[in-house]
Amino acid sequence: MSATTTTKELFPKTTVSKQQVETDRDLRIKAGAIRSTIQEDATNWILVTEWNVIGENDP
Amino acid sequence: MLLVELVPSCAAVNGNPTRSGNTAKRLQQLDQYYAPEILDQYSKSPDKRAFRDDAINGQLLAMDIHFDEFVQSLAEQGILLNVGSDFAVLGLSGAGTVLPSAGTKSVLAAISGGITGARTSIDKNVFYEKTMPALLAQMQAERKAVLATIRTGQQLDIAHYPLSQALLDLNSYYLAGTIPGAISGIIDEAGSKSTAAEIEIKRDQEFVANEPRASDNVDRIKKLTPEQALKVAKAMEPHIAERNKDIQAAIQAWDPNKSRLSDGKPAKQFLLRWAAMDSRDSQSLREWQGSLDSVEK
Repeated sequence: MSATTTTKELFPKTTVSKQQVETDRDLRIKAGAIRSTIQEDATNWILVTEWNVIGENDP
Repeated sequence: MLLVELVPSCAAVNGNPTRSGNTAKRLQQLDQYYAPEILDQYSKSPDKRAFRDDAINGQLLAMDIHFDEFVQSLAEQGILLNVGSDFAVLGLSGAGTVLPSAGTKSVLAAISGGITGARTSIDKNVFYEKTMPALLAQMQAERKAVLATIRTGQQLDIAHYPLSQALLDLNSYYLAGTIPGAISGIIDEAGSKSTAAEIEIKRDQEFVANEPRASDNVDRIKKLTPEQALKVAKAMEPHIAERNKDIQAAIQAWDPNKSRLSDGKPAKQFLLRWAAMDSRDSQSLREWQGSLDSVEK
């Protein structure tokens, strides 16, 4: 598969709503991410975003 | 498998049966799923999930038709399908050993260095015979993998698999069916470009509260010409050292060769993601605003 890098952003559930994280997820997609999904653990919303490595996978 | 046993390995055949119906008309009907306003239509749809799935299936069908035509065009250009052992070995649905045309050879010649390295002494015909089926097999495999992702996504509701995400996956499905996409997959699988960096970044309330300003910066960057983007990338470069280590790590992973400083296209690609992901303290936001203001004048 293509060369990629993944960012995992931790948003504390105590102060950030899921809706706010969804807004940021949409911004990642607008900014060119391959995919961006919201996961969660007990204390955080986790925004997992996959990016291509610039210049290595361009069609 | 029966076909392989019945047809002598030296037989040359066209591997594409005639398609029923009017393909051009069918593609014309599917154009609606590529309308620029499809996301607006989706947001206004009373049944967004049904709209999403309809759009996905429409685009998949159109891409499959084009992909079949692409494979068929290889045959029509003089590429013969030699139904022999490769057919079974490679598991291709429509192609066996392929002898490409001069045009295809020139394309492959341009990329062959990346795959064959110093093996320049091999017989070129043998190389093409083996390369093209491998590329087609890679395309089929990657298309199947992306299709599985899409079908899995369709099992989810629109909150977890919105049309915007589906469109990204559909674009990946298209790219998986291209020669550059297949080459990229082969090279990566060979381990020559195995980057799998994972960077963890902690966010806070200030970051979330300033999302509209980051979004505004992304919109402004989208409107930049490549020349303007290059100027902004150069103007913002000194500020990278001022960012926290996580952002610096992400920047290094996104653009390890710093192509953002020499070419407008990667510069724009880089700025978009950095602006979306950057720290959103007042100082950082001022830096973005100042750099963008300077090129928009």
